[in-house]
Amino acid sequence: MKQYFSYFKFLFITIGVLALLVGGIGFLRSLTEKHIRKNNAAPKERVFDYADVLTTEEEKRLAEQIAKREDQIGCDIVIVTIDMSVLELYGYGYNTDSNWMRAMRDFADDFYDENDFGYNRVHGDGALLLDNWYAGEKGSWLSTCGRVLERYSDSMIDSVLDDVYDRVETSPYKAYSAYIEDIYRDMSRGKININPLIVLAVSGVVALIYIASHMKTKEGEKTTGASTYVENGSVQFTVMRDELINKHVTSVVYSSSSGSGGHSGGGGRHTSRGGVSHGGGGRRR
Amino acid sequence: MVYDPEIQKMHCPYCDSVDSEEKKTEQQSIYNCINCGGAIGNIGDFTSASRCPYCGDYIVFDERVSGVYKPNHIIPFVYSKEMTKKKLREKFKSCVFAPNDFLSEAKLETMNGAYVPFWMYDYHVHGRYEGEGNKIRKWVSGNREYTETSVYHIVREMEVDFDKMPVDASNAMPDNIMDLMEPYNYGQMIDFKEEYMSGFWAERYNQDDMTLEPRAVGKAKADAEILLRNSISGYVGLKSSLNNQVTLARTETNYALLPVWVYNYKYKGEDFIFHVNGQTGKIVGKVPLSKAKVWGYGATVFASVFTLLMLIRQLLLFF
Repeated sequence: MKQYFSYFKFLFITIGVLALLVGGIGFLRSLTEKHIRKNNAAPKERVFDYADVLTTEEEKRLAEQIAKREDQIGCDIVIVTIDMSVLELYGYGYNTDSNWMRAMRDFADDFYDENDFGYNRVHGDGALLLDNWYAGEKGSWLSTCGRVLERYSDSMIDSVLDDVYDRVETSPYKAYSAYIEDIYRDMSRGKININPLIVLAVSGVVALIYIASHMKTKEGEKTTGASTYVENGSVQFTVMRDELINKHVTSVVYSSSSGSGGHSGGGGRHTSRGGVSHGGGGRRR
Repeated sequence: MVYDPEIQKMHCPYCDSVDSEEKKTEQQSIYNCINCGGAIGNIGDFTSASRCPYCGDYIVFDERVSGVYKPNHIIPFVYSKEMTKKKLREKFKSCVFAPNDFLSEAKLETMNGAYVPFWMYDYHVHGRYEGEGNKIRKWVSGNREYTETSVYHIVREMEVDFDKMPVDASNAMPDNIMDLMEPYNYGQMIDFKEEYMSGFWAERYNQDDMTLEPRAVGKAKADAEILLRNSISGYVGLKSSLNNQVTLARTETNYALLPVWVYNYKYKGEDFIFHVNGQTGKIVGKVPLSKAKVWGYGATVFASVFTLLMLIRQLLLFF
């Protein structure tokens, strides 16, 4: 047992120190978790149910949920439901996907900008979910700004839209509630979030490598070479002949491989008509 | 008196005298211990030096180290038992799965020093290699890639002398292990003196030089073929012809005793034998594994790494 503890001493001490560090930081963060709002220009209201798909009670519960989460993550969370043709509003022509996206994006960005949303400052940190219930233009758009814009990649935006899409037709309340929780989850954790399953797999692989590397029970290595027993300077090559007997040349068409450009999708970053940087993405229903 | 590798002299462990002229006498066939007079009993057909089971004194059996059995050379032990223990501990300190008592003082103390009989063969070797090989050159011109293949006829003839190609002449020592003991530094090889054997177990050769020569021939041929091959470079697709041959002529044979420490560790009914070159300290042997340790240490590493990574993950989540 003494040998065991002596062998793992360094590892155990490292874990202990790290645990204390994590515990200490966690404790300090719990004391200072509440963010201080610095933007008072934005309205107090967060749920704008123009499409009237929520009951008063649901609106109230969503507003409470948003208030709680906003304080925890320091970002505005806004929900806007509409039942109108955004294509007609902006005059973007035919009802194509790209026109619809453009119109939804502009509506969401304009709403955010015109209402001066942003937790830390006007047009600062926050997210807005625009949900359109107008027949033929149904769908959602997520507009991000400030820290939310910096954090959200395309796939994260898709993930939020997935959660909304899966629930919104059966229960708009549940869909918007899921959106709030998604924003809270993504904004309350660090940029690097390692999946615990990966941690488990890596630990298993490390343990297997450790066992395999320590189970080597090689008997011994050969430490003699071809010249070990050669008497000093006794190797003499009396004949060393390399005669060219044949030569031939072949050729093939040479094709240098040209690099193919990779496709990269933006995180939806753009500048709104009000001159504010936004990100986002949308999905039609 | 026993030979002490650390001081490289004869030393009496009882009175601490060094290199005294005192010399044992021994009887030809009865084999009584000169120290306590006890009958040694059956020592086997080949043992030439052994330890008295009663008093622990070492006895050299003269008739097995004289006449036709007299070795030409001996390499005295350079590594003492203590030095060998240290060497073993250093070598296997990272073997965490070895049983706890594997390197214990009590177990290592059971290690014995042995002089192993070796035949040493000198050869003059003639080698011939003949074959074909290709040299490839590639270049690009315009939109075409050209490949030039030059085919060569290669001939090598070599003369080489091998000096003291060793082959162990002990049935008790596994051949593959004794091959791994090599090389010995022949610079420290001296003419045989019986006094160096005192303090160690030893054997006379078990088989004569003619019987064991095929092993030496095999080793010399293999080395000569490698030397021939090493002289050919820059070719691809080398094809040997059937005319290649290596011929040997034995020029001299010597009989020598070479030092080996033997540590026999028993674990769960199995023998784990370690051989240590008594001159260079080279160790050959397979370490036993304790299954309990493999599982215990493996599980600890798994749990520790998991905990460590989860803590790091949590730390990253804070920022």
